[in-house]
Amino acid sequence: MSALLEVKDLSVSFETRGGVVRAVDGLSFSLGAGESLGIVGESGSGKTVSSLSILRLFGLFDDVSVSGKILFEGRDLLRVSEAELSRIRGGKIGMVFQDPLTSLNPVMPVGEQVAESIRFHTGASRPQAHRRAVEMLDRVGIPDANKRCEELPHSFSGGMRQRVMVAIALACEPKLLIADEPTTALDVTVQAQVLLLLDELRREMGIALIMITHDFGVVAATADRVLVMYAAQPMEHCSIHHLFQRANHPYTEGLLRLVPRFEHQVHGRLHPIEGQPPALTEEIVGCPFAPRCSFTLDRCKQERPPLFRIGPDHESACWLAAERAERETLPDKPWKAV
Amino acid sequence: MPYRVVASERRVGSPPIRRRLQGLLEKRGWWLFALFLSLMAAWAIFPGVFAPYDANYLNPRNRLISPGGASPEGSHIAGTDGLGVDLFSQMVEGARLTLMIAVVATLLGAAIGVTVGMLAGYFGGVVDRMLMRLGEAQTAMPMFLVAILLLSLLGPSVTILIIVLPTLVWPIFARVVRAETLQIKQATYIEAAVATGCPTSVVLYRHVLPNVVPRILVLFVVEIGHVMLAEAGLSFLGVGVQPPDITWGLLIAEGRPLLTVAWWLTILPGVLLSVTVLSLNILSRRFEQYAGAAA
Amino acid sequence: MNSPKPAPFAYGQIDERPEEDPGVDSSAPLEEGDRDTPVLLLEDLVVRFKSMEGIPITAVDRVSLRINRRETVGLVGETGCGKSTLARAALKLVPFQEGHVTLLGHDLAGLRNTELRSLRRRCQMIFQDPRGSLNPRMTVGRIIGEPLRVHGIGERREQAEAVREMMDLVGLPDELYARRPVQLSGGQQQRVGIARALITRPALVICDEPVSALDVSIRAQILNLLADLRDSLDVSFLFIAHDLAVVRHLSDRVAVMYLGRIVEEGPVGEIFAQPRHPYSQGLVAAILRADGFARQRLGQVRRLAAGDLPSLLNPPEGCRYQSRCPYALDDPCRKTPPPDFVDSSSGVSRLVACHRWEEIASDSLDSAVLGADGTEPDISIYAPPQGDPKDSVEPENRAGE
Repeated sequence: MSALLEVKDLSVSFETRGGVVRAVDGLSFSLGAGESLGIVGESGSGKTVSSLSILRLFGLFDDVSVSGKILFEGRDLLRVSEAELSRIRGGKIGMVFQDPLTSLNPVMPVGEQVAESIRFHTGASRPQAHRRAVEMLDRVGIPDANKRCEELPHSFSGGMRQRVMVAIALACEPKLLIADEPTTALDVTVQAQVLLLLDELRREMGIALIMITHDFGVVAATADRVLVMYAAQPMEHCSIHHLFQRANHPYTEGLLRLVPRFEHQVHGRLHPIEGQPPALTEEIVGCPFAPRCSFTLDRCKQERPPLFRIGPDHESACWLAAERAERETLPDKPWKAV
Repeated sequence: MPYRVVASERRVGSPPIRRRLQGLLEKRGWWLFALFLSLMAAWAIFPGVFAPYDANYLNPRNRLISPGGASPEGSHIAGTDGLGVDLFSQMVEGARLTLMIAVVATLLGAAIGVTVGMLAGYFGGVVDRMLMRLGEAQTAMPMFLVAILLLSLLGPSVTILIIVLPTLVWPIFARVVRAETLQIKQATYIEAAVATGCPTSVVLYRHVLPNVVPRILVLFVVEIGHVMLAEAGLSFLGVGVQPPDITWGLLIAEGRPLLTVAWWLTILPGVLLSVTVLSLNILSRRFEQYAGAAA
Repeated sequence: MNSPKPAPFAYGQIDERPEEDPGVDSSAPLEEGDRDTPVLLLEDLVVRFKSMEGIPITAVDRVSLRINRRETVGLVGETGCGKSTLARAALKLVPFQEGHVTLLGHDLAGLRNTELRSLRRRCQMIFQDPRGSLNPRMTVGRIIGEPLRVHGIGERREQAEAVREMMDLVGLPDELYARRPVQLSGGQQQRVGIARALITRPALVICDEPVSALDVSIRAQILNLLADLRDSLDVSFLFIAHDLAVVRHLSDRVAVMYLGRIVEEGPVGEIFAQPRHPYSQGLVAAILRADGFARQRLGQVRRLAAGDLPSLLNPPEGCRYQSRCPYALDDPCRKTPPPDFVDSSSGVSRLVACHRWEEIASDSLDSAVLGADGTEPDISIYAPPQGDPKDSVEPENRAGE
């Protein structure tokens, strides 16, 4: 089965005043049609850059070096022409960003903004596109879509604006939707609604999803698989159930301990991961998490661990996992029983 | 959303050549202008070191020697004027008053403008409206003409000039500082200062002012240039500095009747004035970059 | 400062501190009342604004709240519910129109400006944006020492000493003393903010979303620090958050705010285990927990907190929550605002501002489904989208093999 999107050994670095920043370092994953992948990491982990690389959006940076391959439906997006790429952006690949206010044109009625994208990508006529826009706005849960499509973005609440963004992203029936922290700026109850909406529409329309977030809760609600990133490198890659039941990488475990769990008593202490993530301008030798890890081996400080395959649907970049990866071949180990 | 086309496996997106050229003067050549300004400052402080002749010594026999020529007393790199005074020595001598008037007047203007702008921006409301209307009224009036009027009424003198010139620039400082203060006022650290119990004077002096200083510095440098030009204009019109004091503006004015026979008398001080103002502008851009990088 | 030297700056356990409060000297000639005096008492507080178009907005509507000594109260609500305004009105950073604010036994309405300033010394604030709340032109040492200078506490040398001691207490390495805020990480910046708030030994610290701008792993460090400080210092916290999960670790009591009103208030355990108000139930359900039941719980939010927050410009009539409430009736919910009902069924008294709270409370279905009491939710009530969640990864969805 050929994957919809295949990212192979992607590395991205920027040249800044402070030196060369490695934003993504050796990332590989693949995504089948209709599948959803959550990319989780803290700020500076490279999760956003890796998703923007898929669309070659490097807006703010002058000197970017990219290597690797990003195969979308078999074509390398790093090599297609700009014209072709602009048909793919918003057409076959939709995007939803964190801040719905700055992503919308403040002086254009929202209906028109949805319709514009439809006309550009499908060549529909003005009235056709308008009808489709209203239909999409209705579908994302904007009440009175027929009337409200004439209004400007500022008269919408944050949640409604993000719904409009979802409508724009899905209007052309893309194959892949990239959502970059789509609910971080929203209130908790509204966040829940938007996540649910994204998940439902995606399933209905058979769209693959890359959900970029810092929050395992968001992943739990929307993703089938998870890729955990730290300091520009992939740490763990597994299905959502592996994640909650037998997370392998110490970093993943550390993060999971911080997700609210109600088994803890009310005033329970949290168990933070001590220390700071490394600066991306530093040369990292060995495992980037080693300085904060409580299981550090000598090897961790010297050699970067590759992503070990430790079970079906489960990879982990940890030297501790290496041992388990060998044992995995033995029968009757618990992680075989999926 | 702006983006840059990127091809894989090679470095991309170096800035276009045009932008590089534009930035070259400020990025690479700025120190030349800084050096020039230091030289001007040195002229102003130690004219005796640089001037080959006494700027008040006149010898009609040496009239109108063109630049590079020589008299029995020696060479005249910038020529001599209609009275046989060495022009270069006059330019060196003129630097003192020219710079002094410009700096002092701009300082005064900045002091008024910063105070007004900060009060207007921080308190808003009636204070703001009154102070800013005052500034606007002044901007709407042809201040240069008012300055001419005042100077002709009060009689031209350096002191009066230093009092009149700041009125030209304070509204500019006030507007910039007010805008900046409005923005800083929104910052959480101002709220934090108030919540801590800082009296308003402390908030303004310790928290608002240090954060507007970078902008004031940039503006200050530019405005010195403007004030310098204004002074030259007034002196040119005869209501500014009076002989035997010398400023560059006055030199230009004195050379004007002889423009057809002795071009250097107007052109050389003019060039000096222009290059000084240009240097100030370029240096202010440089400051601005630093201020931007620090913030 | 001609008064006797201020007491040493060192913090100790409450019982090690002298009985009479040492914090008040010549710069703060205010009595603070005895230990039973609440640190903060809000009575029927009303704060009104004018919107940009000049329309009056009631941001805080008849809110009463009490914070006792050494107590931590969580104030939870979403954007625009008035929680930040409430906190600022409590320190008179924004003016209030009606009601009373009593800080450490002083009615704010009767205070002169200088008195208010010296009272602020005992009531500090920690802000949401750690970087924005620090003056970029000051060094860390100066920022933390600023309250001491403003209130004229101690000599210069003592101030510097106090600052270093404080830095140690909040876990800032000494070498950061002369750095500027931009050179610090987000977590360190927030530690500076905390140090600045605590250096005057306040009785009340208002934390306005102190961790919501931080990364998850840093967030936990800061929450633990705040918990330690709460346990070891004689200080009350008002802890503001938009997310119930954060409040859980720190608060003794929680007040849930919606559109300018407190809709529910009670001990933190009770609120989490059995939220009474439909909105609190929605908030509890909206906590994103990392397990296989996330989707089902989010479905609950859609039922309990449908749609968007109404605008404060045009708040719903009757109960403020009626436009989103699944239980709302035309009468009385859409007609009369609910009074504060007292629920003492669990032995502790809680306040619920809901006409139908008793009916909802007896409807045991909700809390079971929410799984809020520590048990896993009974998902059989709601048909899960794809059978048993353990099997929800269909084979064809597996990674490209």
